[in-house]
Amino acid sequence: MHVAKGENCLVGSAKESNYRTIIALCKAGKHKIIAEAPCDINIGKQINILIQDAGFDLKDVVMFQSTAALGYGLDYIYSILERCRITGLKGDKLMAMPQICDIASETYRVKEASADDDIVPGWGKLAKRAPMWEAACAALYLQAGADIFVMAHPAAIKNFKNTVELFSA
Amino acid sequence: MILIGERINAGFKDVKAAIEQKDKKTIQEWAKKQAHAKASYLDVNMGAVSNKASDLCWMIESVQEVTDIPISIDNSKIDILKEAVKVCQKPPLINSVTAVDDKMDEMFPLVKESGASIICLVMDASGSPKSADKRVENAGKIFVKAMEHGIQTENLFIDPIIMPLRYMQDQAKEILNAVKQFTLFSDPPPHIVAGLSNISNGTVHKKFINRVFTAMLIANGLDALICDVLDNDLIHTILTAKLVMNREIFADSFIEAFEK
Repeated sequence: MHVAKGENCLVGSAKESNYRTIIALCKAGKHKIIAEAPCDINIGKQINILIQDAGFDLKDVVMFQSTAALGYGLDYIYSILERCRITGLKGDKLMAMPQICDIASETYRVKEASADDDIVPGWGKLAKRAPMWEAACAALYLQAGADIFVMAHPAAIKNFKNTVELFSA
Repeated sequence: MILIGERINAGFKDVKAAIEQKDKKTIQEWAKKQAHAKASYLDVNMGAVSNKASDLCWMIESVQEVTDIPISIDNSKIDILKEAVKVCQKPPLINSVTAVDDKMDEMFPLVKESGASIICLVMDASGSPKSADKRVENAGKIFVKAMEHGIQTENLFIDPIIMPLRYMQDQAKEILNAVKQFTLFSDPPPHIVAGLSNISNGTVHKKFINRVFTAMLIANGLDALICDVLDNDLIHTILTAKLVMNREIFADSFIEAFEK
């Protein structure tokens, strides 16, 4: 943390158990906080209240509702992101922060994005399949209202950027 | 929830005396207290103490010296309102007009021009309605007229007219029924507002009646209230009722979050 001082990093994850420590570090180093609430919108709101109560500006917080890979519970997180975004747009300041998704590390844990070509017949080349899985996952969360995407594969990133452009045209 | 602080009203003795003696301090104290309690608007009413626009303007200006919360101008005379709207620093909420064509035709252009919002009572030339149906009929008239004048639903507040439980016990149920039907007018619906203290008029257990009735109004779709914003238990009732109706996302510290 000492080396990164003033670098405006996103620091996470703040949870109910550790948020005071993270706030102290972020205040000292002028960083932003990732507030984490695994698949629970109520805890998501609660952690934001706690962070605000502790005197940290919510403008410097992003929400992390946890991420599920495509095919592995994505729909649960999708509806949380969507509900959070709609509530924020309707005026709930505690739910109006940017939302972050950890796309890559979740994607490359699932077999569809990591199994070799010869393991399941008909799935096609891993080199193409893996980034497609990552890009599709990111595109879905984009539609749910996510703002920040942690991604890995250059081909997936390129594809996803095209999707973003398509949406903003 | 839109909370309209009721306290700067000549119906209260201290405010009445303050207007008569041009004592800014009392009015400003109430403005500050209600602002601190997170009122969305501060109602300003000079009652029968005066019928001069200059007095109402003085009250509004006194309030605006100590807070930037928008004003709810509690008066129905168009000439006075025209003056009062001019001194408001933020778009005010005009309180109120009735469902009488001439009155609305006079009032709505002022609302439209000034960017104000307006409370419309579902009362017509024949007086206050006794049934839910009549309330809805009058609200319909108001709604159509407001649309004709190009007033947005977000600037339109419909008031079902609250009757005292003590004297007209059959009315509360009619009011709740009417409120529910107001929500069907459009999507999003107009705001629905009530002058809460009427319900407990003349009763011993005022606060308790106010709180319970508030929860029931919210359950039926009301989203604005003229009330005692300093009554903490009332505010907590409102916050909880909104959670119960799934109009806010639950969090354990929902009360603390409001008070922060």
